[in-house]
Amino acid sequence: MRVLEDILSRRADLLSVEAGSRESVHGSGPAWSECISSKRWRSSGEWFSAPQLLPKPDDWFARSDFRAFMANRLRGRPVKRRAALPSTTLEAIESSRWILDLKDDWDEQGAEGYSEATWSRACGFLALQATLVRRSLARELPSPAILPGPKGSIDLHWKTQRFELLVNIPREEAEPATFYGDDYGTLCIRGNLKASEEVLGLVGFWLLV
Amino acid sequence: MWPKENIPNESSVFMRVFRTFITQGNVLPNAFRDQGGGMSVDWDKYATPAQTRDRARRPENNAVVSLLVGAVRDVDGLAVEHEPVQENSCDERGNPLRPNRAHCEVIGEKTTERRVKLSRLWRWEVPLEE
Repeated sequence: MRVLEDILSRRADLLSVEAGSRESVHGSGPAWSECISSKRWRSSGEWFSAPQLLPKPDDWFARSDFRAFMANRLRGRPVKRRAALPSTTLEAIESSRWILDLKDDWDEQGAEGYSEATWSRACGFLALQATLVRRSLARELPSPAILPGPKGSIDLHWKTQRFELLVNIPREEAEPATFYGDDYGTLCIRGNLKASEEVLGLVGFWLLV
Repeated sequence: MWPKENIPNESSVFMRVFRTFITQGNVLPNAFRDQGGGMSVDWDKYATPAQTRDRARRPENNAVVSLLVGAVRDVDGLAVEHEPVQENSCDERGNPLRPNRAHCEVIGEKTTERRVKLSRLWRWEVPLEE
């Protein structure tokens, strides 16, 4: 079975320092034109910098908003960022609050209850990835099922016709999250990650490409 | 005292599934988890799906699925072992256990990968009551 984890984690690392994919929307990085020109040296084989994936200003801003954005940037004023969390992700998060009502032995076989801290970390991870996918790929991340996992952990479960991906956010914050996904065939991805980090290589590439 | 036996790959084991782990007629990966030393199941040589369900505290909250032993063993890192519960046995907390000759354990940590793979192996035996 071919394992892609090394390639993906390496590319995700590269992505995290990509100015155009992160800084420009936060308003503290270079302007759009700078972002685009800074990517030109990249080879076309790099999936994260393919020109067709670069968002255009109009993707996220109305023209007037974009002018105001640029004007503020030029004057060094703080720039407001439009909320980027997809509504489906928000709904998935809101509708998973029931997990917090599960107390110890909720399955009548000794399962542990769930802390708000673990649930928040799981939802934070999902929000981070969904925002990243929207910002970097101009796509919507499919909503996962947010589920009560083993030993007080939370599962994020994506299942599509082509892929299945399970991410487990452990109860202990110091422990890494674990993930496994495959295409029901020969391609699979597995490994650990930090729940507080953006990992486009995991959810974006796997679920959208 | 019941002897510990070898379970052939062609056998099946029954597993109770609590209603929270079932969504739209599917058993989710989070259903596959350890209780104590392993994941408790019943060998079909000594149990029926109904008996497995009736061992739950509230059977009406549980469905029963079967797993082919050979398929479980094919998941890297998992083993299926016969662990009959003898008369006068207790759990880790000292609570008395009901004797169960069919009892087996699926041994091996239930990692995300193994849980995904186990969630593709089950077959309905007793669906959840509406």
